[in-house]
Amino acid sequence: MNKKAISPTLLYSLFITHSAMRYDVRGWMVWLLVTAVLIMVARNPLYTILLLLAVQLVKKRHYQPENQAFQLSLWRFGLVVITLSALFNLLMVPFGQTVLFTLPESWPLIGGAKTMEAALYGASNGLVLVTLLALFMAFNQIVPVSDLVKLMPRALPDVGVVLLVALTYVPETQRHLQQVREAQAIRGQEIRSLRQWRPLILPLLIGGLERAMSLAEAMVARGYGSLQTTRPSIGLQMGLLVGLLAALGGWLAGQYVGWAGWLLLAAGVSLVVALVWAQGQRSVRTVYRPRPWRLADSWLVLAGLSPAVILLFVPNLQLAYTPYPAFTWPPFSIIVGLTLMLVAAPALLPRKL
Amino acid sequence: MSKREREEENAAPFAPRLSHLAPRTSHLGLRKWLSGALFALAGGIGVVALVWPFVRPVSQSGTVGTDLVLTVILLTLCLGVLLVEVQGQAVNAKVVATLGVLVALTAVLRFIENAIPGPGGFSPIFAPIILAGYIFGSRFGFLMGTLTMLVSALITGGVGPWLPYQMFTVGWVGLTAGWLPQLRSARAALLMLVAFGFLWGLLYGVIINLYSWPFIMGQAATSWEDGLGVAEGVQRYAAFYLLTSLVWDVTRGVGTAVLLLVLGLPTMRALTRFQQKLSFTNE
Amino acid sequence: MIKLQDIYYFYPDSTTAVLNDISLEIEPGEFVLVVGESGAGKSTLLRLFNGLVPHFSGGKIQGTAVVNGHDVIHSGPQILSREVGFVHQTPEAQAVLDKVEPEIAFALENAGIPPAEMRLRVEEVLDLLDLTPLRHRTLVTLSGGERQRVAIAAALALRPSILVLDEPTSQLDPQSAADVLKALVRLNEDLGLTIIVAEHRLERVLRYADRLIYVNHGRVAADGHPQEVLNQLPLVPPLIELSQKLNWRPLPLTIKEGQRHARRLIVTRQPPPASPPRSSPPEPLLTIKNVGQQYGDKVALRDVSLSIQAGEIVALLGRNGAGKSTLLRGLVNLHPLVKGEVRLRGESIHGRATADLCRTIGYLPQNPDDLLFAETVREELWATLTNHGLPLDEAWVAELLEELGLTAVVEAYPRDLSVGQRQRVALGAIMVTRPQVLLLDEPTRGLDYGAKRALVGLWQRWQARGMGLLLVTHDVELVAQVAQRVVVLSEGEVIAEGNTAVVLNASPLFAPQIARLFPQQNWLTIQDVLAHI
Repeated sequence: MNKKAISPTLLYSLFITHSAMRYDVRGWMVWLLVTAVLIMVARNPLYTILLLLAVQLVKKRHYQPENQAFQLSLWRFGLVVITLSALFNLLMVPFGQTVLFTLPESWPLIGGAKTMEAALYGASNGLVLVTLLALFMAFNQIVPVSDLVKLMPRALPDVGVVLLVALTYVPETQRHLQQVREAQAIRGQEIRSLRQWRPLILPLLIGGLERAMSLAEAMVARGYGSLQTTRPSIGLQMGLLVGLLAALGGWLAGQYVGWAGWLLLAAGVSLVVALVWAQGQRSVRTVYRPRPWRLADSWLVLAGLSPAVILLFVPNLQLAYTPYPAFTWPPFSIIVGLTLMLVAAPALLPRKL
Repeated sequence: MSKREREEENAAPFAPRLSHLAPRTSHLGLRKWLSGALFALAGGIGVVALVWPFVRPVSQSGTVGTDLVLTVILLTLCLGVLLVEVQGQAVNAKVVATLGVLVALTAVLRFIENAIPGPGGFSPIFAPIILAGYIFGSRFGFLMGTLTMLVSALITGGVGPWLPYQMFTVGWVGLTAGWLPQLRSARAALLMLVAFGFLWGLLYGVIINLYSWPFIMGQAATSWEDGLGVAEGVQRYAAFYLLTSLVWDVTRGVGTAVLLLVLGLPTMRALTRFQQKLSFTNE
Repeated sequence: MIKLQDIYYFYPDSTTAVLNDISLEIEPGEFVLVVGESGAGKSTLLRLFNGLVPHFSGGKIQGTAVVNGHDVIHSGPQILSREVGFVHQTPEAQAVLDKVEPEIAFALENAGIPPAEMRLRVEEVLDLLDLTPLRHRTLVTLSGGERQRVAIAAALALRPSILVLDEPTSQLDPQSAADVLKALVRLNEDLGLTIIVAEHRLERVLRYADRLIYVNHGRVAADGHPQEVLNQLPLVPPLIELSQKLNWRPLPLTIKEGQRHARRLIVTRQPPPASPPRSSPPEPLLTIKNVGQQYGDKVALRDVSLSIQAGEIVALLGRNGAGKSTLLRGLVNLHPLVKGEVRLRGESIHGRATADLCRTIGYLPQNPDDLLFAETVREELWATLTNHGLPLDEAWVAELLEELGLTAVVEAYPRDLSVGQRQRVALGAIMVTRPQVLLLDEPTRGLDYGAKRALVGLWQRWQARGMGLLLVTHDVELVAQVAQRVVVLSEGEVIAEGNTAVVLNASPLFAPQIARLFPQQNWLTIQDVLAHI
């Protein structure tokens, strides 16, 4: 077994967050969403590289050192993805005019002329993927787990507690696994095949279940569940049903009848969101040391929104680029490039509040 | 009352004292129907989102990008609705604590998946979720599936647009496990679960791949104005992708089946023993 | 104010009454100690006070129970949580969250207490339990005693007037246990909180209790002032037992009171025991020479040397974190020692795999439950034999089970057994390979006097057969009773070693009750005293 992977000290660090003031997680959500949309829309390798740089800048500035436990090397991974993607596209897509070589037509799936455009397209698409991944990696490293958990809707208090219990018990379980491994090794147990996992998994499972019972008891003894009003009313159930139906119908209809469908979709989504929000308002649960919204959070939201807002005002926006049918250099507009660099605006904000 | 009388009464069963604690059972039929409809609808949306890139009308000028954003939003919505629905009906302190501990355990298993001997694609998380869903019921299974994915994403820094898909799909693994018939013979039940595990291991891969291929594919199908062989391009890409990932998916299916076969019976026994504590009846 | 009247209670699917005709009243501000064997119904009784029984556990109940004006059977634990705080024995298994402050606030958040008031209440209990310096810490970094204090703080956050604790110190080392008890006494004396505590190790709590309730077979067998009730208990701490034997009145509850009586005994001062003749000591069974251990930069063991003879029980004492468990784990190569040499019958065991080593050096870890996974007790023993590729010698397994007193439960599911029985099953799973040396890591933790006595009997029998035992423990009374030699570790170094009487008498920290009672003598046990009077 890989010793390092279950070293009991590994996970503690995830749960140690300094009480030093951090930005509101919702501010980072805004930045994340705007940037994700830009990455998806601005499919021009030059712009994508700019975005990737901007994302890395923000990460460099704001990452939490204790969130670093599970970093995979972005560069190595990125290289693999881009190469594979280029290769796939080269083999699979028969479009483009600059033929590199030709495979016999009789070969299933991959037969035909192989073009430079296809390979380039694949590579640039791979770059987009890598950039998206980098964005989410940055987000995961900037925002501590304890803040992410707070995004759980108020309408789901019990699910929220399950989540907290689970996060508390992950390191506990790792420690327990280590203990059980030792206890079984003492009995001469060596793990050579899957069957020998039995003495490991069972004490872990049974011990966990026993612990769950005493935990439940401790929760009940501390009044858990006394004021829960989580059971959805029939009205709520119906409302959710209608909302989902509208959303689905609107989505499908939108493809054919245009805005009317999209409107229905928006209505359905809003209904569901409103109902869930209203259900959340019925929860009596309060929050210990609620974090107030600060001016700096507003700055973060502004910084996050800035590239999107300004893009609306740039005339004749040309974000997308495709090498098909014949290769041309991707266009580059200084204004668009500068605007996209605004994604890095949060990097100008101070690291700590 | 004399001591002797009391002892005699002691031997006789007591009258129920805690009946008022039973949950109110008004409109049970309607509630059940609504709940079923919600699950069906959410499942339907999931399926539509899944096959959408294959069937969407070519004439539409929307991009794959917006489609993806839309499917993520819709799936998150469905997930939220189902969680609200399930939470209200299945949760008390015992279930909360048990779920928390089991989710942590499964997440740790996933975390050490490279430590369990097995080739790529294999993941040990399906077996416990299927077992829990089968023994503790579909709602428990659903919560366990979704939350296991969420927790392991949180602890490994894997929060991303793929997360709602994963949570939703694995939630259904646990949910459907609860629908399986309760067989009297443990061995028969195990064989059924093994087959079930194999199928889901396979299916999960297919679903996640179908979700992710528009990402990988980019806008090839739509951005190219001429529309030359768009459908063909999509299909070829998908076929190739499925072919290559099939190896992984089969590994996952077989791995889950083997895990269930080897560890299933004792685990089922342990869970069944525990179930009595989890769902006592107040007399 | 608690009032129970004619309470009978049955667990689900059980026909034996766990609580059998219990009637009691507990006044506000009392400090009540509940004693009784494991399984006598103590825990059930305590859980009735806050409605966990029957609302959490299910089952059938009859009678009336009223706590601060609430009918327990109708109100349930959610309402009673404002009246009764509850703490149980394992600190790790009652924390919902991972940090001190949020853990304390958990109950308040669920109750919907406004944030401003919540801050105040958390502040208040942090002060009450001296947790302010730890307020931002993660729970896993705290010691057992600190965690237990956090659990008490969390239970007090809802401002109950009664605090119920089910064996709160049974998993703790003496120092942590003393801290927790000190906190309880303060809560009782300064705030007038009613404290109801169940505890096996009477010597720790006796002096604080206003009242002692002895529960036996689900009944209140005795109830009253500790000095009266103690006379009816079958097993009591050495101080009490000696006082009873010598008929000291009034019964002393503390060493200070006991010494007053002890001084009146006219005894001649004993010379220190002559050191055993050192003529050609036999070759030790296990020799540990200058071993060292390191975790990263932290030195866990530094030049530790000790030896165990055949037929000898050696006790290893020391604070938590002194390196006791580290040494045991190093001996069986769970974490290879970085330095030094270990010889078994003169042969180096360097580099041998744990599985192989454990055939000759048995090791019982702290939590015996981690060993148990089989369906029956017998299979548990078989599993070890199978692991080692040894033949399934049924006669030997049956003999060992008989010796362990487990014959009646051979077919039982190990996890359903009592703590003491589980401990012995685990011991069986270790002993089945007939090891020559046995390493025991806190084997009596959480056990009652009866279960402890059973274990001691086993060890002494094995010792007589020529086994060598190394016993890691915090329980000095146990050491006084069974060990021939004592080694004391501190910060990874041996700071004292020698004859049990000499080492234990040399330091008040490790002295058992009898030694403290007669500081001038070299006595350790009641037998020693009685032999000289």
